[in-house]
Amino acid sequence: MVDKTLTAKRVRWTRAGVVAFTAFGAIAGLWAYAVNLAVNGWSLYEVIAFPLFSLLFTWIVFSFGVSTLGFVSVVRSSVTSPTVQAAEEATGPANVVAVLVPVYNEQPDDVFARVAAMVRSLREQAKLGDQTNKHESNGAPEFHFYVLSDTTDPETWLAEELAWSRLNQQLASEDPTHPPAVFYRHRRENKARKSGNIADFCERWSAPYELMIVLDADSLLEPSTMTAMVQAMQADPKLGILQVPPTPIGRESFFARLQQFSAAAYGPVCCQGFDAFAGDQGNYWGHNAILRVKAFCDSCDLPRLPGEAPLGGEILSHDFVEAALLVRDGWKVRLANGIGGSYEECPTTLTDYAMRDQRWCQGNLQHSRLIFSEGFHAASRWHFFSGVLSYVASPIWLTWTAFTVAVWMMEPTTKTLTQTWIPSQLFLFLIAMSLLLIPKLYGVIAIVMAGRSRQFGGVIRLFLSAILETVVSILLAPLMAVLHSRFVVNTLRGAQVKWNSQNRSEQGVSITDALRDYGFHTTLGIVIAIAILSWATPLTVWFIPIVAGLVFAVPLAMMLGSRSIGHHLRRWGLLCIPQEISQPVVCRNYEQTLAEYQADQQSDDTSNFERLLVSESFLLLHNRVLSSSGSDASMSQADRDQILQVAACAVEDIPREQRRAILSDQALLKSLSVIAHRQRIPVAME
Amino acid sequence: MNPNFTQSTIAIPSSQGTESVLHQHQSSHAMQAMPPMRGRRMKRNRTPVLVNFLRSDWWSLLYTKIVAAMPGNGLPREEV
Repeated sequence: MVDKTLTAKRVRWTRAGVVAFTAFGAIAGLWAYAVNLAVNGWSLYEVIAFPLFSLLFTWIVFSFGVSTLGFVSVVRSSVTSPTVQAAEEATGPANVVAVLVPVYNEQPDDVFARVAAMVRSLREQAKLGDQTNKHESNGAPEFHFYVLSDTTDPETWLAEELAWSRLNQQLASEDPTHPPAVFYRHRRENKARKSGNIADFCERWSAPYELMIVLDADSLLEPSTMTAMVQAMQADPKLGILQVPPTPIGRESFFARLQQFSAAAYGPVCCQGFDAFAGDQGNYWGHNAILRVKAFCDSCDLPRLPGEAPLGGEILSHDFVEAALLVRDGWKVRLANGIGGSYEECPTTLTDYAMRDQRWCQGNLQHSRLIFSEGFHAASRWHFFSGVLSYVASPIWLTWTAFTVAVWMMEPTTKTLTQTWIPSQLFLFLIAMSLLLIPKLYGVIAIVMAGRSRQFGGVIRLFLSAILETVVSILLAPLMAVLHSRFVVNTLRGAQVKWNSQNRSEQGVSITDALRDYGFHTTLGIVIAIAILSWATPLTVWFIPIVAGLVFAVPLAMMLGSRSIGHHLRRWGLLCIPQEISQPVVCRNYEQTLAEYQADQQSDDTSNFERLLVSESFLLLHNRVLSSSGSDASMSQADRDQILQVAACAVEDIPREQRRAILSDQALLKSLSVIAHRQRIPVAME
Repeated sequence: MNPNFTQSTIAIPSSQGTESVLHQHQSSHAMQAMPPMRGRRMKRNRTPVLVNFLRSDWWSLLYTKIVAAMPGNGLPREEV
């Protein structure tokens, strides 16, 4: 077993080391900056700019320190993280584990193809286990899948029911001796969004389970990963959440492949550093994690924040808060960096990425209310602060940049390029760039040292991919800074973010969309370029990277959304990830199943609602979903009468916005079904 | 395994006017979407309050003023 005292002591020393490194690095950098400002005397603008620079510089020194820590750990990497060791040492009894898949207006075929892939992969693993361990007792955990639907669109809701039924039928026919354990629940009201969805499961169905794995609609886990997660939890009864970092895979656009590459190449080093720093007070990212159900129920009811939105009210980003609440109650929250086999999908265009960031922005800014709330562990406060700063850093950076330029514009006579100025500015610039770029190099070196470069297309392609990723990141940095600044300002001025489901398709970006979304950035870039050239000419060279990203925002957004560029890069072996070189079984199963589902799709345009009303067996299925979900609800008699009146003319004329409520009313559906049969609408049975 | 999983036939009518059997389970009896309800109580957490040293009147006043002073606060919320 792991010596827990030793681990805690090591984490304390590690934290002290990172803090000391950050303090030393920040003081050195700020001293150099102050000396540089003093050359021409401090102006008012510089006095204001200094604290902004201090915060940003300290932040990048800290991030660099954590990455360095991660690099050292990975390179020494006989070092196995304690959670992985625990998983290897676990000999606990088999568990029945709930696997939760919360969905909200997602593509049903996609969702159920993923569930099918995981169930089939688990079955394949069990068969292999049976063959290799014929004489040993089978101690493998059993997994019950729960698709927890919060879907509000009636057509998607009914499609989910059909997809669930089809999946059960397929799984039952594939292995009649093991009936499938895939359940489906639809919630009538989308109360408290995803956290409310999980809480609803806990309050109504969680009693038989000690552990639950929480996934997202686009998550995939390898069977060995699921087993290892369970074993790690069994080995440490104080472990409340084990988060397995998800690797983005499976997308083809240029932008998606950039994200996939950076996560695969640099992610492990960052995660290792984060884990070493956070220790048992880690964080939860909302999915691809295993949770101890009792701990979750005892600690993780989300309170309402005092006041109203944007910073008060219902907590939007629940995951960080749930982790902090568990840590507050003495539970451990760990990152399982060494387990692997945990996947998700990423946005394919810059706009989708920005939309997701906008949703997260309000959630993270809300956490500013919790940084100074009582009871939380210092590490949890740090996670909240980091989340806030990840968005607030952008307006701070832009403000600092604006002040720096303002100095030149407002006081041109006092600013001269002295012999001291250029080298000291250059020195600071090089230091800042090194702090930002060396962590990427750490990732690449760690891959080469581990002999894994083949998984990225070979050493040369790995380096070329890293260079390409770095160039695009530099171009994107000012664009993202402007976007984040808008999100922060929007959120603070009370513009409430609507939480839509993500666009998970890969349709590319048209010139019209790109101009609409990024025309402003291009204009801003041109204005800045003119201003710099006119009033602060000596700064031109420094501003080229910033201005270029903004000026070329439109073509950049179009190129990044292009699947064709993504395909070409793949053909050239650039931005490759291990999962592309050797596809995991669960991903292959998913793609096969999805292809089958798509080939199976009906081409007629009859709505599922109409199908429901003329098919007794579909209606039976739907009623059973309602009953066992406990989500049936009668409409008022007046509403029923009005709907029956419309249906009497033609069932298909029932307004779409009323169909969701109708679908929860079993008695009304029965009456409508009788009418539909009488009318023999175009889809009627023979 | 799903203890409530028995079988049923889901017949979906097609636009051609014939009913195509998409999902055939082994009998026409109850297929439960969810097992019987057996849950756990979620213990309620109270509203977070500021740490002691920040709970003085001047701090709350300052904090409230900062939030209230943010541009647009107090105006009707617009959806993005």
